[in-house]
Amino acid sequence: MWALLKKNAFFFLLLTILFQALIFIPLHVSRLQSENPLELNYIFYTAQFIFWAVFLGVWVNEQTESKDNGYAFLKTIPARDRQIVFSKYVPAFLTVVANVLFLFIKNARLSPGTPYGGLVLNYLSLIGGVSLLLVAPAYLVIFGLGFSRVYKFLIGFWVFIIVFPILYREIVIPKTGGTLEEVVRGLSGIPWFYSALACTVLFWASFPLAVRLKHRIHG
Amino acid sequence: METQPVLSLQHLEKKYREFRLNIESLCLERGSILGLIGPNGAGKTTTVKILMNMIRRSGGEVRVLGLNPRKDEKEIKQRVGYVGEEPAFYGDKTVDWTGKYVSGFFRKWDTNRFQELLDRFAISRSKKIQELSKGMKVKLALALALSHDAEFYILDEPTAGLDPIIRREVLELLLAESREHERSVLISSHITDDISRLADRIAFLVEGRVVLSRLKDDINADWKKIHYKRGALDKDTTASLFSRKEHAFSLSGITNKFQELKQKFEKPVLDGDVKVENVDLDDILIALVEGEKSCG
Amino acid sequence: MDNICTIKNLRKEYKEFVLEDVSLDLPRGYITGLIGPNGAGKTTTIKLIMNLIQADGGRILVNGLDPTVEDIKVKNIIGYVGEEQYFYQIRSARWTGRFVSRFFDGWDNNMYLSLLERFGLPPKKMIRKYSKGMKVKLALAISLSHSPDFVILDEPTSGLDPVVRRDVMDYLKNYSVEQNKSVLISSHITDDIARTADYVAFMIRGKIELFAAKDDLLSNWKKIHFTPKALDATMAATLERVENHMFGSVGYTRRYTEIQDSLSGPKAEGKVKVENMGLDDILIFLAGRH
Repeated sequence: MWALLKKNAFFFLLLTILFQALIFIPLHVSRLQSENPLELNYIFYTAQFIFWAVFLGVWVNEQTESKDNGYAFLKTIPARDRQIVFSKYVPAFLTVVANVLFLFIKNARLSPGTPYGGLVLNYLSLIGGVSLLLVAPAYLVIFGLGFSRVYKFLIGFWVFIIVFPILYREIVIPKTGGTLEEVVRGLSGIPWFYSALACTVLFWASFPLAVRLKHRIHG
Repeated sequence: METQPVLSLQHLEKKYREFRLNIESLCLERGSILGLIGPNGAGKTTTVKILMNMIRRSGGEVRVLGLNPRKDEKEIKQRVGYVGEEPAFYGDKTVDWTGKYVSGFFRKWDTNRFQELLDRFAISRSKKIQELSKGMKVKLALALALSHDAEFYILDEPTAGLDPIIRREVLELLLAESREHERSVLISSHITDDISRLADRIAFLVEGRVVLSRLKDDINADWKKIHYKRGALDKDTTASLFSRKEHAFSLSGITNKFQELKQKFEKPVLDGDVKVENVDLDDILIALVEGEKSCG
Repeated sequence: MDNICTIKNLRKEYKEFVLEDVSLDLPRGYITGLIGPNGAGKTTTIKLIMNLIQADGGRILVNGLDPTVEDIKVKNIIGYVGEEQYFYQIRSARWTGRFVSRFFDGWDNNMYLSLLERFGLPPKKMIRKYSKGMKVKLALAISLSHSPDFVILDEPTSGLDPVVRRDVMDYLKNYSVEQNKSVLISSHITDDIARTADYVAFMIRGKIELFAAKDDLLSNWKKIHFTPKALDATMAATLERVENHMFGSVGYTRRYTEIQDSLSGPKAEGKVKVENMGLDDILIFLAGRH
């Protein structure tokens, strides 16, 4: 169990560190130099990295697993399907939690005097929760149909999710006549506790189903 | 022309960083079958690829059908039927398409023969290459190699992964080619049983060198496994044995000069103190590898 | 007899192939060789024992346990080397050993490391850089390091050179004899089976055609060449597929020991010649081809 977790955590951890460090630090530094300590559009942009980290983590991990015929290998040793699926769910979940926390600390805690502390947490929690709600069906499809059959579909889906915020900002917002700040404010209306709880429960509720699907396809 | 050997190697050399192929001399007469045996990494595939000009040699003389692979590659490929270790085809094309495609490259393509071989090997024509099993692909490669009226077949591990029934069929086919049509064959295989059924001459390749190359019948006459009771043989004789082992009631070893020592064995054999057995090519290879190691 | 594995009326249907009603008992403490043409169902049977695929009918018991129910327990009993070796390519043999050790009861890491050394496998090298033969040997080392009661090898030796093959087969023989372990090994190299196996099962077109002790097979199956009238009726009755040629006839018997004594006369007179049959000859006979 621990061995499986350690193996799977590798890429998630790597991507989290990569995004938090390489992409985030330059932006962070430039923001500290500016007059205004925190803008809400800035939260809007950085929150996307939660998506990136967890989706690329799932993607790279499943890609290597599929290339190495990892599931076929695991079938030949006394590893339970429950352990195998659990060791996929946990790193994805922890990646989201860790990225939400990192972003929150960076955005709110490290900028004393920000007027938006509460809103930031609400917003990040919502985006993190939505990421989990998108990872769960992705895992269900992967375990139900096999990665090699669904990977093209998943790429398309994820590219859409990644460009969606940009499209939203460029096309939808100008049309409706609002501002990005208003949208973020609106989304931040849900208290972080509720969105986190609801999404976590839904995410883990899909776990037994994923185990059953995994068992069915390989059994 | 007819008396010229189909294959002759002199001082062939190929250097790699961690490996050196160095064949003093190797010859194959027209119409006979040479079996090449050796551990993985001994240089079998390297040798074969040099003959097909897929690898350049570092030195020495190579003649295939009297031609130099470096200069006359095209001519050699016309007249040699080659099956490599991992046959490569276009995965999404059918067997039929592959046959037609390959036939275009050869002057003397025999369509009837190819069709007959497909039937014989039970390869379905409409299947795509990627749908064929590994064994099927090997059989297809063989069918292609046997359909352009080649004078000389160079086969690198053609029987690996094939089941015993198909293997026997392939061997019989090659034997007939050699006996009835005077074609020559160079075949490498890890299945020494196949080599001993097929080959006239056997070459053992160990760590890049030909450590033994003789007619099969001579090898069978000279190499024997000797079981003996303690004290039944003199010291010199036992010291000359390979792969010596101690068993519960006797000892055993392998000799490579039975004809020379025959007289020494005669009496103890009659007394029942010594038993002489034929050896498999496996045992000879193992003895040669051990000998090579002990020499450093 | 005590069996490590019993298979009863096993069925598995595919589009182009059916495994029909396979029944087979594998005796404990012995090596059984499984021989058959490609596509006869050897790998399917082995995968069913390992619960890698699901049967359409029948029952398998490994050490009294049903693999479809007690998957984990059965996999702890079995050491398995499949047709193709799957590993995490960017990992080393040492990492892989540590990884699988978490799943097996009774994993012996010292044994694993000594097997790696014996097979000449560098523990720290990335598995991606291993040759095919090395991967087979790694799979073997992994399969043996939890001291399984039952070792199953599906075509492990194709692609290995004769020297390594002999080493592997000798190791298995010792493992079986010294520790009373059972082995099922499928191979196209009938020589390897002839040298190591105690029992042989012949599988043809999805059925077990014959299962017998190897020594009985080799002493009973013979090819008999004989001149006209050299054999009496009882002797001739043991022959199958008799063919008459210009100078005599050829037939096959699977009951040579029964007629051995009565044949000694005609043999001495030169009217009968007895030729040994190898396991591959028997397989070719059973498959109905000459």
